[in-house]
Amino acid sequence: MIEHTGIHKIKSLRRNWILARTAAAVLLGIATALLILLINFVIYGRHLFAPLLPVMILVMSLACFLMMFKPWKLSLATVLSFLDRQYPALEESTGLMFRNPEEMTLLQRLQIDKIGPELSRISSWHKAFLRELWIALAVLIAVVCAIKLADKVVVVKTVTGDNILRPVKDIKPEKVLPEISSLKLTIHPPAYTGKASYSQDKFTIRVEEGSTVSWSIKTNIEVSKLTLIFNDKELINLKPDADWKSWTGSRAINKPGFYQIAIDGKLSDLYQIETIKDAPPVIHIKTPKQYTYIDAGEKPLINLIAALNDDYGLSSALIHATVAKGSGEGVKFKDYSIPFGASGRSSQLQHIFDLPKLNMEPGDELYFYIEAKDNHQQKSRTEVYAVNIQDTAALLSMDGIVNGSDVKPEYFRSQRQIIMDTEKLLRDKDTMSRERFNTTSGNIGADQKLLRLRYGRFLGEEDESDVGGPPENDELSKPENFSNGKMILDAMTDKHDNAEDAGYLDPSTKVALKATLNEMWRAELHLRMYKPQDALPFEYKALRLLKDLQQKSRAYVAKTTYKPTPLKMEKRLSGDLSKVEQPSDHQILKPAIDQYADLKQAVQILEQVKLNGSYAITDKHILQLAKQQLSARAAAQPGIYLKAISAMNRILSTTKPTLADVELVENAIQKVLPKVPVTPQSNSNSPDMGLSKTYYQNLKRNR
Amino acid sequence: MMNWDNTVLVVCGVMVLIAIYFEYRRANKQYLVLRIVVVMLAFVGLLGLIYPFKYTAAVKANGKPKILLTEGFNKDSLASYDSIFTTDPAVHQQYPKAKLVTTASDLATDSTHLSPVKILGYGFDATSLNELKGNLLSFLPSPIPDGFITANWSTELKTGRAFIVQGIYKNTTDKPYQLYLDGLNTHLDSTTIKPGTNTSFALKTTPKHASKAVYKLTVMDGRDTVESQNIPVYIEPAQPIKVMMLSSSPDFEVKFLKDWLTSKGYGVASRTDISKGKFGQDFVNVDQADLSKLSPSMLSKFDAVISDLSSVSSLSTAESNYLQNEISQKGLGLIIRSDSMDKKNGWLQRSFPLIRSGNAPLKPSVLAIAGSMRTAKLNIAPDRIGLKNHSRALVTDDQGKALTASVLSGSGRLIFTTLNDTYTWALSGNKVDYANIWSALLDEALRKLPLNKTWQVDTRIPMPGQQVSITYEGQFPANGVVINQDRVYAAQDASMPFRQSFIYWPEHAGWQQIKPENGTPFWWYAWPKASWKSIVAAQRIAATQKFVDQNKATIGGSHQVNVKTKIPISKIWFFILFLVAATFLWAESKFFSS
Repeated sequence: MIEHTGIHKIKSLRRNWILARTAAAVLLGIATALLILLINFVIYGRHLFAPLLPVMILVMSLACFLMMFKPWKLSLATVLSFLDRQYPALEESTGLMFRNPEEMTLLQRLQIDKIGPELSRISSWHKAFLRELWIALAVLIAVVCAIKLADKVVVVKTVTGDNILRPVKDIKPEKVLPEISSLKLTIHPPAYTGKASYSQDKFTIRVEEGSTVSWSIKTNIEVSKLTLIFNDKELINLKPDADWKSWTGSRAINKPGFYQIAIDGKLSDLYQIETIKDAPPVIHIKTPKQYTYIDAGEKPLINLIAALNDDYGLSSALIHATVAKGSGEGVKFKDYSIPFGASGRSSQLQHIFDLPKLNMEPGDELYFYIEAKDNHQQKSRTEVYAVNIQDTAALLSMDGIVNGSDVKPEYFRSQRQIIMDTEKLLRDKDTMSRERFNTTSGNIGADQKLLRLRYGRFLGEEDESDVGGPPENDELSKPENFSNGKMILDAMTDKHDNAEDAGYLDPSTKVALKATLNEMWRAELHLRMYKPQDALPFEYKALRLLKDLQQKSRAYVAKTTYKPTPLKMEKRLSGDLSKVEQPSDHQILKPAIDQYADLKQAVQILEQVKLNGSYAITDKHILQLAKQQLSARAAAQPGIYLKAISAMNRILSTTKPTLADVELVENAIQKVLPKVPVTPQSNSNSPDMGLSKTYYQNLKRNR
Repeated sequence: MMNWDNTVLVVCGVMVLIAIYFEYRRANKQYLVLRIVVVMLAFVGLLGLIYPFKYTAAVKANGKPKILLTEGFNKDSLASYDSIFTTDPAVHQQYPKAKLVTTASDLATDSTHLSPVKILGYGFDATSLNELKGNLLSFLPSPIPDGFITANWSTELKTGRAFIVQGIYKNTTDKPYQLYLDGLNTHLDSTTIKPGTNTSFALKTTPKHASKAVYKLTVMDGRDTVESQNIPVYIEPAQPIKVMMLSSSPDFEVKFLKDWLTSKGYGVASRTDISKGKFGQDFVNVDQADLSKLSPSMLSKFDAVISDLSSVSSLSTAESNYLQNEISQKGLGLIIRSDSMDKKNGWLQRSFPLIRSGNAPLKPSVLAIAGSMRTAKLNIAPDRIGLKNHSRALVTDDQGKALTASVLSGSGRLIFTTLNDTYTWALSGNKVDYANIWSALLDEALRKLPLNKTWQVDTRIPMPGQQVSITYEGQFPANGVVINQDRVYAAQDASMPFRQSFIYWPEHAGWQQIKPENGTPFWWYAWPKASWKSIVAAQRIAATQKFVDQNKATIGGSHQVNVKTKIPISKIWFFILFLVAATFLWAESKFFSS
């Protein structure tokens, strides 16, 4: 009996568990299906809902989740082990329930009797079953909420999306005359594009500038004349075939505009012609910079890297280089043209200028620019780039230094000396031992250091003369100076910011001096690393900066003044002018004729049409004049004005135009009309029989 | 009316006399006196049927208030009332329980006892309100509906001037709206209307077209149009002006200014000092004359004089007097450009004390024209004008110091400017700023044109089928004017003889033309019905409230009426009198004359 209730209980537990798991799988399946549909809806919108699609998705997701959860695979053994784990009171003996009682030992039977009541006390639903169900339910609710929310968002999105995502130029299906049965436009793009000819079956033309377009029009009835009308003025008569049903003709398209077809005088809609212009080549120089300065000691090489682009292809590129030699009036120029092989749509090109090969010497300048040509023979060129080689001779010369008012020859000679020493060392490098070379380089470095310290003092920098331990101070070691705090402090501390040391230099000089010291530092660094070759540019830079400094310290003194003789006031303007004629000039200048007067008048008529719905026959002429002006515009910018021209044609063909056409034309006219310039204009008095005038006159009298 | 009454009295009197004569001639003289009396009574009865006899009585106000519904009423507030009336068929259709009466005064004629009238909704316009006079009124206005509460713009505009629309939009919804000013089917300007509040707006554009056009003020909620109102714009063509230029030396400022003015077809006469007493003269688009001596007749041909300080100061006393007289008496404008000359107590400089700061160099500064319009930078001299309490700054520098100031001088104006390098703008192609600054200066200076008439439509929103009052200033049009083919005659203002008013009822919406006997026509606009609903409602509420308040003041407290009204005697009494008299006359001749 006990066994029976126990087995029953376990079986009902298993049933419930399977039930809960199945339910969870179904709920999750529904939730997933809904989610997929929602995403689908957001992406594609409502209209992509095939009626079978939701059902299919639902079935598939249900199948997926059922396969995943596999509720039918929940075996009794799983239930038993679950019970053993969850309820200690069962003492892991639930397995006994399903044994054959006859095969059981006494102990086992006793155990069954013991756990039987425990088992019957267990609820046939367990929290763990329900947990899966709850999770599934929560997921489903979340998805439903998301749909609710998305409903609002999605509706807005689809409404605005329709308007935004549609291309701005909505190409309406062309209105073709009913007489035309078929159309073939063959477009031969110009040679420079390198494109093959292609054909289309639409009248609207968008081709490369210079293309030749051939029309081949077939009509379904015999036609006596078929004409293309370009920009309302140029006519092209198409040539008929023997049966007068198939017509051909061609024309080169060089500028944008519009055209229409006239079949026996019957006019078609207007069709747009757009041209794609060929852009000139684009040249971008990556290196060098626009002004390059080669210091002495630097390698006289210029690496030119440039990127060239064109929309259809480059035909050639040239580097135009000019070398300027000499100075003052003796400058000589020499031109070089260096081919810079460019081809294809884009090229990355490199050229290395070896300046000595161009006969360039220190002090000379190189100017160059790149010129590129594309297949359409359109040229473009870069700005001029300049390269300057430092003239060491001029730098080393003493001109200007000895003549200056503020002479500091010693210092400059020192920096000059260091350069000379370094150059000598480099010259003698091959003839001397490695050790001696290094020692000499170190010595020059030491000289450079001393020089730097000397200049550093101008800036109030630390004096490093006592580096390497305090010197013996005789005064301090004297017995009477023992514990003389002031003297000890004086001997042992660094004195920063000593006003006396700072010198009276203005800030810009200080900055320049600092830059000089910086270069000296680097020169010293390389010298001490036994690399005099590397130190040389820095030495030169230091010298150049020093020289600049020295030039700056010169003062300009103007020449002494000129003293004019005093004017005799009584004689001024007292000459005899009686024979001087007074010039008098008279002319009439008509204001420029308002070339937009027709359009302005047309606005008047259109406003009247908006009010009354029709216009007088006498006004038709003005509208036609306005149309001519708009046509001229449309020829240049068909994309903007073509619709207005069509609307104007419709307005002209009837006396009761539609409001939409009138508004289209008005919009175009507003675009065409220029801004009205401000002009001075009189205000007007009110017709008050002189009342205000009297008031103002009295106002003056009383002040 | 008076004529009709008199006619009735006379006819009745004659008829009575004839009747009495016949009575007298009658053979049977038994009841002669009685019959004559009865005949007279019969005629009194007859007269009473035609002529409304009235008697004066104290009016008593009592009873429940009568409800008078007008447009915009709230249905929910009507539950507690039973006697509900309306004069508006639309309201009757909307709320059929309301009894439709033809005029508001029909409410009062019901009885001698006056019941208070309570007006619900937006109320009436001024003309309809007059019919309610004498009633005990109270007014419960509905809130003004969403829409434009006010909107203003200049009806007539000169070419090249900005067109500005300003107003307030009431939006109680929780959605922001976009407000567009559309002209020629193009968005010209736009702004956002905030949700849940009254937003004031100002939209601006410079019209490119000429003459008249109808712009639109459109309120959009996303892509839905909430409201769209028409705005009529009338562009006046520019009139050419004539300017005289006096300069003490030839300079670029004068040359460029002359070129700029003459390129527009304006007239310029210029006089430049060459030497002592010698002038170079130049006339463009004006008749040649001798400018070496200024005369009143010559000055009267020009609208403004542009001069530098030295050349005005060097004028002879007579010339200077002519010039001053022309300015103060005839309204000529004078623009003076400052130069190194500094004569502090001359008549020119009295109003413009110059604050000089030595030989400081020219400094670039942004200028502000009329306080708001910003220009590009211009190199300006460091001199500034000290403002006095009767002078006004026209152009200021970036710190708000005056560079150009203007002062009234009688009926003309004096303008003093320290700007002497504006030609650099013209030279560098900045035509816009150059035109702006000189237009501002010349607009201020130009002699005012003598107008012989002006027109003004006084009704705020004229609509078809409504009374529109139009004011006209100028010569009295004896033959009236023609408004849309209807001849209309003017009513002259008693105190100001140059002012007349017209009353007109437009038949259709759109442009309306007033054509005086001789002269240019004047155009005004009538809106389609149901335009500017909120403005009309606000106007009606204000008018009704004002009328109710005034009415209260004349009639008295809320329930105590101390007014004596003339109450018409009911016509049934006169009919009975006539019937009795006629019966007697008939009965007497039938039964008693034996």
